[in-house]
Amino acid sequence: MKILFFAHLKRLIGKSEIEMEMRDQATVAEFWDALYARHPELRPHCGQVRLAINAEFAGPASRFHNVDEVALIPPVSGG
Amino acid sequence: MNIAIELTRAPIAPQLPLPAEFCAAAGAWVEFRGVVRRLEGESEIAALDYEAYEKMAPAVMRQIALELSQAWPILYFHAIHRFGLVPVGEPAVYVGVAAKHRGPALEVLTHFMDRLKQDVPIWKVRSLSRAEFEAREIPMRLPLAASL
Repeated sequence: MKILFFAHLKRLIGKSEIEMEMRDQATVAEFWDALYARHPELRPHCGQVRLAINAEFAGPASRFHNVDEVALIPPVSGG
Repeated sequence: MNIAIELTRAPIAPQLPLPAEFCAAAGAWVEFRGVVRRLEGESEIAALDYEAYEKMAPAVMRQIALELSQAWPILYFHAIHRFGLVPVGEPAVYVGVAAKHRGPALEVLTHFMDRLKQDVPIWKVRSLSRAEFEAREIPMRLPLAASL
């Protein structure tokens, strides 16, 4: 599945998306563990980051099932 | 109730009239434009660069408008958010709300802007000085100059 990065997170890792495999029904905690294992530099910057799974906000109890893309949503600043 | 949502790189039109179909019932047509200000702190800027999660941002804006329209009786809701470079003085966001009376229209407008700033995946990613902004415009001007 595709992992999308925006704003300062995109600048931090130098790309707007990566590919990452997750097992079916993986938890949000497993997702963060896998992402930090690959990009440890993200860890200090993700305290206030929300996840969107297939373009919808995910909660802490969300599971990864039939996921095409996950977006890391840092605090927004539109308007 | 009708909801119109746009996410665009294009400038927001200076005038956006209330669609004629709502003119019979609407006694209030409240509009807001959030514009890019020249002063950012104590620095002068020429533009802001906005980034958007294009697939998600319009859907979140629509969901917020829908929830607000269930809390207050409105007739028409129109929101536009621009992304990419937005020069100083130009609107980055537009919201227009029509209702029978001004109260619900004003409430929906205020709450929408609050929610937009909390939940809609759009970011101001950087500000550009005059020199940076003009330098970015040069490649777009070159083909025109070359054709003269």
